[in-house]
Amino acid sequence: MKRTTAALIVTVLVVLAGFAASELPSEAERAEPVNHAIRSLADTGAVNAVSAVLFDYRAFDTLGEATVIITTAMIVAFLAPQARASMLSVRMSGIVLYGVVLLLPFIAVFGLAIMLYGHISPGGGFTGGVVLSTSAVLYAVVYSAGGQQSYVLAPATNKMIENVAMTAFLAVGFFGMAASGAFLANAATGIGLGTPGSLLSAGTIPLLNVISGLKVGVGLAIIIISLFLE
Amino acid sequence: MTVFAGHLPVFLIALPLLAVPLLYLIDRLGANSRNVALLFYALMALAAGVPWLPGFPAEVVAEIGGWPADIGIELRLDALARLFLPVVGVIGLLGTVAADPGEATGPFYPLSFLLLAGSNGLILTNDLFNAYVFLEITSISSYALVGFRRDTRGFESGFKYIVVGSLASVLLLWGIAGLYAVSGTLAFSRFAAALPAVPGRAAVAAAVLVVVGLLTKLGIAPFHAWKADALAGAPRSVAATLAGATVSAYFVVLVRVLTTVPGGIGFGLRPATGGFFMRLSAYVSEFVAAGIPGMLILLSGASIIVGHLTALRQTRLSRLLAYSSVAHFGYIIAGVAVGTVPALAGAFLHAVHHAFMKAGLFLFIPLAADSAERDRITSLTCGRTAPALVGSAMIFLTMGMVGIPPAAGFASKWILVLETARAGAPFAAILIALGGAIALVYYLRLSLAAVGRTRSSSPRRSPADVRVFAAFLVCAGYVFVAFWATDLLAGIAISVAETTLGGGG
Amino acid sequence: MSSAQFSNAVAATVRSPLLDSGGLLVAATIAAFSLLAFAFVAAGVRRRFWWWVAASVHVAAGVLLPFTRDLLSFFVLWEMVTLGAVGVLAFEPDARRLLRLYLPLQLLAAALLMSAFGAHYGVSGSLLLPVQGLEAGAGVALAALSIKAAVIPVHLWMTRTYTAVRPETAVVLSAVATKIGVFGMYRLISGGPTLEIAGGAVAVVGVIYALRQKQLRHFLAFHIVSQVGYMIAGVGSTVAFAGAGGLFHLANNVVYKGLLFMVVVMLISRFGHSNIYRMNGAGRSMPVLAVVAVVASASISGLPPFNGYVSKTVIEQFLSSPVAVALLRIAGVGTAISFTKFLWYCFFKRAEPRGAGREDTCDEIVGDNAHSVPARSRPAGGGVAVDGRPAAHASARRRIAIAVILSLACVVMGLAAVAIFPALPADAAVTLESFRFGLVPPAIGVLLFALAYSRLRPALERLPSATLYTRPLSTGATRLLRALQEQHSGDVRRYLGWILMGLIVIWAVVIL
Repeated sequence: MKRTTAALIVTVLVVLAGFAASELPSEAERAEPVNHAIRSLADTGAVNAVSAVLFDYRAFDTLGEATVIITTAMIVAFLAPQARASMLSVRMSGIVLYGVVLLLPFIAVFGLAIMLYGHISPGGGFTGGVVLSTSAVLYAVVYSAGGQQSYVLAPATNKMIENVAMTAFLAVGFFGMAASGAFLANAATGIGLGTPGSLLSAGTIPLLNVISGLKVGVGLAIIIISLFLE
Repeated sequence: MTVFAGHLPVFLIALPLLAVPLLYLIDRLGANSRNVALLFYALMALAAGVPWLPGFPAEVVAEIGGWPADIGIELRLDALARLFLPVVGVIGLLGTVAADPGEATGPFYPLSFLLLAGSNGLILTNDLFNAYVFLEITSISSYALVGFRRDTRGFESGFKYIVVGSLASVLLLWGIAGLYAVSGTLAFSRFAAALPAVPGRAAVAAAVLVVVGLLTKLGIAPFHAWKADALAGAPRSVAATLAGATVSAYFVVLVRVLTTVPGGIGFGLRPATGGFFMRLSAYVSEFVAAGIPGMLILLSGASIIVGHLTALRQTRLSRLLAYSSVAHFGYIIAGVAVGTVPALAGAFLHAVHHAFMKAGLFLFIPLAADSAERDRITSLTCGRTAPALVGSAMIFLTMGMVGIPPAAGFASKWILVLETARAGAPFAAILIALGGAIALVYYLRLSLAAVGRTRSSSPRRSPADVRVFAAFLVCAGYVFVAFWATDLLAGIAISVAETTLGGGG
Repeated sequence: MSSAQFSNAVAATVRSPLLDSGGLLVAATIAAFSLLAFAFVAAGVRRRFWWWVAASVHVAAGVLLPFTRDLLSFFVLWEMVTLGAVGVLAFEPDARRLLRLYLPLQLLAAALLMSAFGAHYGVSGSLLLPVQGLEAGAGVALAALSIKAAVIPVHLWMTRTYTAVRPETAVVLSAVATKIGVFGMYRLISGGPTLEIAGGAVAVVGVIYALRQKQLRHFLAFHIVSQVGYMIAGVGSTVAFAGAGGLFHLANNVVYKGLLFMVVVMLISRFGHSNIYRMNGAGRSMPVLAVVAVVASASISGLPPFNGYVSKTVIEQFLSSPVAVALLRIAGVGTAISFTKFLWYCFFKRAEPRGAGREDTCDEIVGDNAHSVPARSRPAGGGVAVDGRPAAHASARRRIAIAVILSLACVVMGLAAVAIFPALPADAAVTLESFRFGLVPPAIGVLLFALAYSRLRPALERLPSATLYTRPLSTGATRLLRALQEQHSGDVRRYLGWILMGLIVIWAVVIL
């Protein structure tokens, strides 16, 4: 009965939403064209338009989203203390242990690359951070087995990195404010956008990529490890 | 002044965020971070009052990254923000000051600052998606604060809050995507230009999603049911902040959405003629034809009825107060929905007054209950510190909630009743007026239970008690002073309403 | 925006009062009577300082209300009347129960009044006192005013409160609240024949229920209802003179009804109970009180030359609806029967032997110290004075003096009616002919009492009481509230379902 009602509700919702959406205008019909992609290279020096939107035009949203992850990490760490005994009592086999050791550097480098090249190729701080966090999680899961916990970085260090990254993000913002009068300003501060496509280009975007990558990576690591070890 | 003024919106968001690592650092150094946190919070509350200084520009626009609103994000410290920033700041401060030191451990103060940053961001931003981001910050920190006691009840409350809040967020995000797809912009100030004056069904459907999401956050029937469950398990100081400050921030976003999306507000019933059924069908068809405002009027009516009637049978004060909030936001939404300048002003005024009254009544619980768990109305007392004063202040606050003259709640309610009636929503007017009569019954129960009984079980008075006491008295004092300053406050509210309606087109 | 002109509504009334003869008469009567009532209370019992403050607020707001020029001040003063009464009731020994009875209906009235003002403001755009009655929401306002005036069936707040407070308190309260309701009708409602008839009906029903009461204060409370019916018939008429008559009746009623309450207070403090049938001929031991009671009863029954006669005749003469006039005449006869009964049993007849009637089983024991003394240990109806307070004599003498002043006022207001209230028609004086004419209904009343009252009593006992509608109302309400609470029992899935269903409904309405 309950399930039927739920199914009915969802069906009606979908039908109504579809009916409403059938009227959505096409790109040409819209009064305000979305033109981030057209102007982003000139405005920000970033070849990757998505990074230009995330870390320049709407860097403020990114600050907020990164804060959301930090908040969640803080909450999870508070609600599920890491000091509790490990649930993973199974000892991993040697193949797993050595395989992970071999894999970890590659994962880490891959994550760093995505992060650092975020403004010129697909990727960016968020994705890079997620990849980095998987290496930390993998390490913790594999090597904590058997009741003893071991991490790439100690939880306290994780927290420290998180807070430093947050401060750094805000510092970049205040730098923009001091230099050009606008919080999180990039090109306007006069730091130079460099040659598009080179590693040191696009002003503050690579910096913010790294900072948010650290925030996300550490934050996710804290969340997942806390939940695992509970 | 101007340079500083231009940066103030950013500071109001960035500094509370900066407080998070700052408090972490202080904790790492082994110092007690509470006093620093309170001091910093007080500074933020003061900063929220800065826009009221003479010489401060009427509207400050801070373009983040130097990008204009069509491509980037801008913060706008306009009249509406100026009105609600101090409310959020001061009530948040009161709630934080009144926090029980035994409960306020770990990430409590960082979370309070995140809540403040999120609320300020909600009030200041001119960008719908940015508002969503701040809404997430606000929601997630409030989920955590609700469950902060880490006992079964706290977890249960937090869990329900998360489930319902997440659904609200999803609807909101869905709606934001829809509005963006239809209009190509996310800036509040550009919706009017980007959408036709009579928006098509896709735009309306998207706007409804956004509105429903926000109404869920506010707690309007039938999206209200989580509210009592969430607030009942929360620490009292947190409940005061959530019911007073955070809700005001959500309200501001709702007002921005409704005043900027075409067809969002403005409802007028033409007097119908003919027999009863003729008139009834005429009314119904007008409600339907009015679109979103008509629905808002109906929802506000439902909120008033359901909120007050459900509150009647509650045995626990926190739940009672939560349901009363449902009804009061019904009043406020009715004022917003009819969309005339004076009605909107009445809604603003009532939102501000209600924030203080509700926060004050939530702070009464720690004064009156023996332990945080026992907020049964029948077991409440008037505390140990100056029971006569506490009792009279509590009665005064309930008078405000009911709407009896020397309390501020009367003034705003009076304006709401008269102006909704004049704007063509007589049903709303009657329901708002009648609501007080029902509210009186349950507040009378509270007053009769608490007055005349003092607390004797625990002999020692703690400094935390004094802080709660002070915060409670500030709320009661506001409700008293605000009544005598009604002319001034109503004038302010009217000018805010004028700018809000004029600015949004 | 005129609805936000809040700068102290009360002060605005004091600064520029609306002075018309009707308002002046009402205000002056309430003020003068209340001073005497205060003196009466002070003469007999001690009350706390804050009791006096609350009572003063109650009275002062009532005195100021006739002078207001705008609806906001009207509403604020109206609320202050309520608040003052609440303060007074809060000092009663049984405050919790009393307030639970008194406040909800009062606040309902306030809410209705507020929305009526809103509707009027919506149509007229002005908050000034309307000249021709409210332009919109008059029906709602009438409901509000009827509650305040304690019209049947919304009289319960009054009949159940005035009979349960300490006796002296009822003296003070009786002068203001219901009168404000009637005065509000005068100011705010344009009226018509329907309202006249309604007033007449209220007068009749009130009298019938008053007739069946055996406790003194219940009897007086239902006579308030009945008298309010007269006033409503008067002020609810479109004829100016009838309105003036209604107002004059209001003023008279303040005086003689207050006087009757004083008499009752003295009877109660003399006998320690309030059963009409067991007063045991108080006339012999309290002759002055008996005279005062006769004057007050004559006034309320409309006997010339007392004041009630003048106002009743003016109302009956100028009403446009003959049905209303007939109803008022019937009510007049009923009043006469009822007060003959009061005088006869309280002052002249010896008590019925104990156990003779059913009513003996449930006596209401009243008095200041009634709550500390178990009911069983009280002397019941044996004529034993229980008033053991020292200086009781002096206090009784002072109280009698106040009562005598008021009964003189009844005579003066009757003889010099036109001089006191110029809005009355010039021929509204007491003449020789009026004696012949005016003595008829009271005479019929006395006759009927003598011949038929003992046969009437059982029939009256069988009348339905207010539980006829309060019980289904309260069970229905309880059921509704319980259902609501069950819906909010904490099931998150249900909450989510509501949200989605709400969304569906709104979408369906808005998109389709």
